[in-house]
Amino acid sequence: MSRDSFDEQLDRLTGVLALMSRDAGSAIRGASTALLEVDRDAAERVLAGDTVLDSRRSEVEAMIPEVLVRHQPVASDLRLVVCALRMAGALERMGDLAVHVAKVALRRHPIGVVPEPAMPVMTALAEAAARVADKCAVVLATRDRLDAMQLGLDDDEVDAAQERLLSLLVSGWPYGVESAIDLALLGRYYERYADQAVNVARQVVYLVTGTIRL
Amino acid sequence: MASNDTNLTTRPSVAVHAPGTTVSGADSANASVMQLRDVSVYYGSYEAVRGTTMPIQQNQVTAMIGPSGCGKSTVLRALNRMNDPIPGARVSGDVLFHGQDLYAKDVDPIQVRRRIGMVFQKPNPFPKSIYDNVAYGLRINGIKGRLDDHVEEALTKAALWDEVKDKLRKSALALSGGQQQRLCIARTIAVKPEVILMDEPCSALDPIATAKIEDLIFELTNDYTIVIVTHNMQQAARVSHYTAFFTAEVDEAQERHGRLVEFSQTGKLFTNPADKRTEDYITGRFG
Repeated sequence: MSRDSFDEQLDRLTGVLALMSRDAGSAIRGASTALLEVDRDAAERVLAGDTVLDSRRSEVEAMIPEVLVRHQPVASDLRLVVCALRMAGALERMGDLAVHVAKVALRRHPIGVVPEPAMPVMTALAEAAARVADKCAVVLATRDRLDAMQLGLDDDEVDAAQERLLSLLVSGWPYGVESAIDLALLGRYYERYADQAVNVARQVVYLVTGTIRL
Repeated sequence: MASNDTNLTTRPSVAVHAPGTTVSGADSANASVMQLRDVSVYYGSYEAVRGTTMPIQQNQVTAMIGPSGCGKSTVLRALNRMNDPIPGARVSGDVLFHGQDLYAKDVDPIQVRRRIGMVFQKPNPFPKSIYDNVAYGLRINGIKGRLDDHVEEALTKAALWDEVKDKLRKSALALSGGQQQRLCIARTIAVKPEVILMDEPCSALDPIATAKIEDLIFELTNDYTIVIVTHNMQQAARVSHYTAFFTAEVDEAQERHGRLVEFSQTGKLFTNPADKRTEDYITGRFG
């Protein structure tokens, strides 16, 4: 098996991952639109888009055993294949978390889920998560080790926004328990979404350096 | 277990024991039984391999890989003075075995080859019986004790006993290629060497015979230190603890020389090699 055909397969693999990172970013933006602008269509699009992410993950999972069998990759090739498997899992999970956000919006439709006092912090959370998603896609394309390590700091913004949301909920929230649970779960979904993006960035660091950093 | 007597000279000498050497990535728990220090091998005025420094760790498998003409077989043969008979062949630097220079004036190359045995690419049994192939080295080395026991022990260690115990007097040439290679390994270990050098021992064998030899290599590390040259990188990755990657480089005078590029633990070398030349070679980005 020639190096050329191997490179083609690796390019296909990285191509699918790039599409997945783009889709995972669109998913969280769409879910935030659905949530903050009470937009039903946006929520439906997130749900539909998730099946594409799922099938791309399956595509990656199907490609990898074949790559292993045909080429027995080593060194950076091996790291790419191992990382691709983990990245596909993380990106697909990011899509699922965006779906969770969209489903909360759908469940309450046409009533808005986010009451006015929580709007600024929820907007901050949504924007921070979208920024993390964008950087994750960039890092995946550039494989810049420092940018990848930087993503952990961007994730801190998401964590900080989630903290602010929770402190709002525990200091005499006037909109009822149900609303508080919705918002607490939403905070959790955004926070997990950003964590998965950080996982993707960690894989980039491993791919480039060959060492695992915790 | 191999003897600890390190006397390689025809007359008594004082053996110098080198302390265990730690090389980048080498497990300090294992002492090095051999040590190459700035070893170059010449054929006449031509420097075939330049400045090789690496340890051979005790009871471990060290693989040497690299493209044709990179000097891996030349270095392997320098480890037990197999280049000596080649006219003009010369070694500079130190090849140390338990700290003793194998190329010192008073060292007997026959003794060196008894302590550091070799298995070749093509199985090369003598045109004698299976029994005599193994007993041959024992007889000429004057090894005492019951010959039958020694032969059985060597054949057992070479994972061949069960297949040949009922036909020991039959010709070795009637055995399959894989069996012949295991017989050659039995012949080598019969004289109780400490180190076994293997020069592409599986390249003439089918995958089943190859798997048997590879299993055997793993078993043999209980008692022996093994150095294996192989063109098959997957084989190096499967069987070895340490891997040395050699390459051929062209110098200012347009002469090609073999060079050791990287020596490290096999897992490290095949997942995260330190040198780009290693990475390019093992991932198939040649030339």
